[in-house]
Amino acid sequence: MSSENEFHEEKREEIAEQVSPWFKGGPIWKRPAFKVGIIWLLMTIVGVAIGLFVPDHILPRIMSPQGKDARDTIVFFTVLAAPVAALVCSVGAYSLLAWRKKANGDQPPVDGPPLRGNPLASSLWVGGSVVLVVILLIWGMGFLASETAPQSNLLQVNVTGQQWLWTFSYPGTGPGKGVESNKLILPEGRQVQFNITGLDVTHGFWPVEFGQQVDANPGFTTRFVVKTEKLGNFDVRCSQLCGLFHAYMYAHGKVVTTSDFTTWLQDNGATAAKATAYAASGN
Amino acid sequence: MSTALLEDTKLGPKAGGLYRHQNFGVALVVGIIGAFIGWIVSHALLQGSNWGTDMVVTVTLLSWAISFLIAMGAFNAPFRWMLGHDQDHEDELYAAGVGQGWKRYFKFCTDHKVVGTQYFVLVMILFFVGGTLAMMIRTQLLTPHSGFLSPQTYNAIVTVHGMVMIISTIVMVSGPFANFILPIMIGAKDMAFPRLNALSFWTLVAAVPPILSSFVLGGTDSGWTTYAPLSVQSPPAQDGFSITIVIFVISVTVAGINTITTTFTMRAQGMSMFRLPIFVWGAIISSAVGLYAMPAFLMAHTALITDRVVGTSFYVPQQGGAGWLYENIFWIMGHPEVYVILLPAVGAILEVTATFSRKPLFGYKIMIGGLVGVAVLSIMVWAHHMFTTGWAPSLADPFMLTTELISIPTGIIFLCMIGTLWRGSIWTRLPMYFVYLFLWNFIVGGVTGIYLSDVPADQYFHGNMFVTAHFHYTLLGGAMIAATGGVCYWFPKMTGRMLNERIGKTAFWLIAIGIQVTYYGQFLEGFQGMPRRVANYAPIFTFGNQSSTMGAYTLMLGWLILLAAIIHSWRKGEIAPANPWHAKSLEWQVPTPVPLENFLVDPIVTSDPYTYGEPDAPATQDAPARVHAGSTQEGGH
Amino acid sequence: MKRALAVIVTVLIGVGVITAVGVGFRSQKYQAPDGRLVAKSLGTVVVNGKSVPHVEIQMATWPDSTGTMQTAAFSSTGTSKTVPIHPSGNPGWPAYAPSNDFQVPAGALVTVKWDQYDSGEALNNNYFATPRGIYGPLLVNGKVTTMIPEDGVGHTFTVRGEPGVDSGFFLNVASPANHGNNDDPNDNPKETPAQTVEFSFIAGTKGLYAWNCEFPCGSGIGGFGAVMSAYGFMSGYLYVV
Repeated sequence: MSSENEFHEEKREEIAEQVSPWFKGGPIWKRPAFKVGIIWLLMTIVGVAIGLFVPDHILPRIMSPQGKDARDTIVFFTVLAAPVAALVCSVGAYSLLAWRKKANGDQPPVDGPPLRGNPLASSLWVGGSVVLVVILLIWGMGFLASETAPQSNLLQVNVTGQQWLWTFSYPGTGPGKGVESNKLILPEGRQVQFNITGLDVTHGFWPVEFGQQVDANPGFTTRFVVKTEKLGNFDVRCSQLCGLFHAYMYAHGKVVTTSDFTTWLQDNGATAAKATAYAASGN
Repeated sequence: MSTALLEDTKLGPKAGGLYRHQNFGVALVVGIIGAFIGWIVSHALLQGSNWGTDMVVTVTLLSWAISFLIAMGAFNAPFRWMLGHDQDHEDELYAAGVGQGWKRYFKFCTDHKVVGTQYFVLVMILFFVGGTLAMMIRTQLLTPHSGFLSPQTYNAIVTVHGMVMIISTIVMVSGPFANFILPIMIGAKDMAFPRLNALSFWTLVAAVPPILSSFVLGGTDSGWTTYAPLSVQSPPAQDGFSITIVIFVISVTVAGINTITTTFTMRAQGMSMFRLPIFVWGAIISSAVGLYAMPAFLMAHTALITDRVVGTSFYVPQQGGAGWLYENIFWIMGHPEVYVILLPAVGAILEVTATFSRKPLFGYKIMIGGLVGVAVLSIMVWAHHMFTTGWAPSLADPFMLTTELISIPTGIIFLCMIGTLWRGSIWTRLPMYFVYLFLWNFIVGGVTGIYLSDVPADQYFHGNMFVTAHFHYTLLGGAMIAATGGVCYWFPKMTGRMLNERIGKTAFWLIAIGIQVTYYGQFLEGFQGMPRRVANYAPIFTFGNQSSTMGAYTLMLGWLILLAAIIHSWRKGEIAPANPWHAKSLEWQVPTPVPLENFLVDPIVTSDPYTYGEPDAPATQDAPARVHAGSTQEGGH
Repeated sequence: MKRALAVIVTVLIGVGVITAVGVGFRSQKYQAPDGRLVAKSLGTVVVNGKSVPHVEIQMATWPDSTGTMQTAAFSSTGTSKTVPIHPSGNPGWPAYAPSNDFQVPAGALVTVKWDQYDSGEALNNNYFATPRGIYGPLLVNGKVTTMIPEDGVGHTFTVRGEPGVDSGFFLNVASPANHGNNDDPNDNPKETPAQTVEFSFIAGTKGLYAWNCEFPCGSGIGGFGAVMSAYGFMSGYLYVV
């Protein structure tokens, strides 16, 4: 059996050599590799342009460095994906353009060459994907490390999710839970740690413009930290299906100056002393 | 030894025993009666107890399933064996459908070709149901604050749409093609366990009423993932949902065991493992992953049932449980499950690619390595669905690593496809169209998956429409389009008629455009920040949603036209020759319609099925004419 | 030609089935037989220097949704009739009556008169015991009140604005528990009189607002199962037109 296989192998190699390899022979602009390269280049340029210019127009206004990490990742991954996608598309498209054969009624076209593999191409492909994955991993792990690095001077805000509303409290600004509100007002320029829990089912606490979210699980407290870099409005949405009015589980949020923040706390029942102390508090 | 066609055997009047009286209609009636009895008994026993409606629903639906299967005849053979009155040869021939004509499609028929055809029809029905529900969802989302559906109905529809589609996509290639085509492809006469084959089909049929019962029991409001503790709180429809899963897992497990055993033990002489068509590899690797993953699904839902019905607290935090436990067990199933969906479809589309490029499959062994790599890695990535749950933040890095690694073997699929197309002799018949659509859709789906595998990006994208668009691109745009390519490819063999290409190509373009418009709209919504599974949304998402709905209507039209093509061609299409594509694998070397035991002469295999372009390869022969009763043929059975 | 006809027929049948299913689901949407409760007009009033419509809503919460009630002053025409508290009520499930859908003009001053017959206990979040977003005082049984006792809340009327349009709108009013035995739905007059709650709020911009009760009176561990998960009993829409 094996000598028969060897015989077939030799035959196949003979035939493969007779078919002119695509990287040799003839003027450069007639070679298939060149034409594929042109298609590839055009698609890559379009893909890179999309990656560089489109995300900022469709993402919401980023208001924290963590959100910026997400935005930068989106841009970088799109730019990196463009040449890879372009490679597959250009080879596939060129094959269709160059080698589409007229069929004779129901008879198929003449068979193509019996090329069963190309160790060089396969190794380059797999090796290339490994390199790409390593790049992506280093990028992702880098950002993740900076996000999870312990921070100091954290402002604690408690978040409670229940069906179908968010309520926020500022511990230490008053008796019990402190000032409570259904609007998330935050002072600018602070590292804020959200301590999140749920009262009935799992909800998803997602202050959209900060680019971070964590689930609100009943029975557990989860946390994450964002830096409130910019002033302005933001939306809190629920990102985990939680029943009837999951779609309505929005909360209004705003990052204000520190003095506006203390004023707001006092309007909601805190004493001036506690409000100021809280606004300056940290770990 | 008789050399007449086996299917022309005349059976005695008592052949088949009880099977003679058992069919789908009878089983339906008996199943309903059984459900009713179960309802009455559980109601009477539990009257006034704390266990209430959930227990009644559970018992009623289980009674339905068991009664239905008994009345179908699923347990006839084992019971007869236990009683010492085993089935004889005539009974087995009857069970294989001999002498029953079209009626055998409504009975417990052990012929793998009949089971394959039954699965084909059931899958189309299930896709129609799931697709109708999708149309409800998209119609609701046409305007930001639509009053079309109440929020409870909307959540119920979202849940059932997801589950029906997941069920359909899991069986869409393994059901019809791993049953009908695979045994012929490997040179076998039937599958290793013909009765289990029929059992897997009818068990799946038994699972359909429980999932649809959701709409009359208050609807589940927790999505197809039915996260606890929300699902512990849900109306009684959740019990119907969990029972569906229990029944479904049994069906898939039985089918998986059958596929793997058949491939390992029943190959024809000369068919070594490395001469198998790549589709077979896709099917068995997918079955292996399924056998690993599906029990986790069963476990997750069994614990959910006991939480709801009996009051255990696996998932109830207020009593010491945790929603995270459910999420982990669920995703241990949930991630491998998408590869159970994908791998057979990829196997099918690779077959189509080789046949319509008239070239051997590029990198056959590397492709097998890639499929195995995907399967092995798929069991190690589940917590990428849980990056934002707050569970074990220190595990984010390892899971990000494994998830990004899985893109390497998945990329090998692209390598093999473009390698096969390159320098091929591209024959643009209808199945080839789907090859190109698959390539494009799977690129988009795969790349967007990479975004989600990166934790900082996922912290923005989790739970929003970007995720929905990503998995629809991979499951619908990738797996389902590949399966459709398989349907167009194997249609002549399974139905004996050619699928009308004109109508098929019209459908193709509508589907292709529909997919892009629908899901680009959803990617836009995801970038803008729209959460998923919402019945209403903020007005800034209006453009994305309206585009997506328009695309969905186009897609619906495309699928309906394809359905029309299938129905019309099946009834009145041009009669197909045995090997219309002049392909080299074994299923094309047998006559159409395929004889009962597939091969009139036992095949001896001398090469793999990718000998295109080799000058001394065995030519594809026109299939031998059917042998009529009374004539002799050397080497027959 | 015949082929084209076959295709068109199949597509039409498919679309027909899908449409029929859509109609079926639409009819599942719970709505009170009289439709939305349109707030009764009381003329205009000056609020913050502007003249706005003044309307009134009268509603009640009952412990058992299988009974009937009189709609004396509830309807906008003022005529009285007997209606079921909830057309598909379940025994033991409380309900807001006579409708769970209300309609008010945009920007109007809405006065709500609420008869509370159901019992109650402690909330799972005391945030909701305090009235928020009201205009003017909260009157409980005729007396000005600033907070409902945290361990004796019957139901709450918690309204949120359209997501992304009026996320700032928020109304929350709790009503005290009624400690009498008002469980028999056919008991008329009731064993103990209602706890009456009266307050006003300013409706926001046009849109579909959602309300629900935040007192967990449902089954299940969080108390949000059963009646709380079934749309139309403890939840509904406020149409601001």
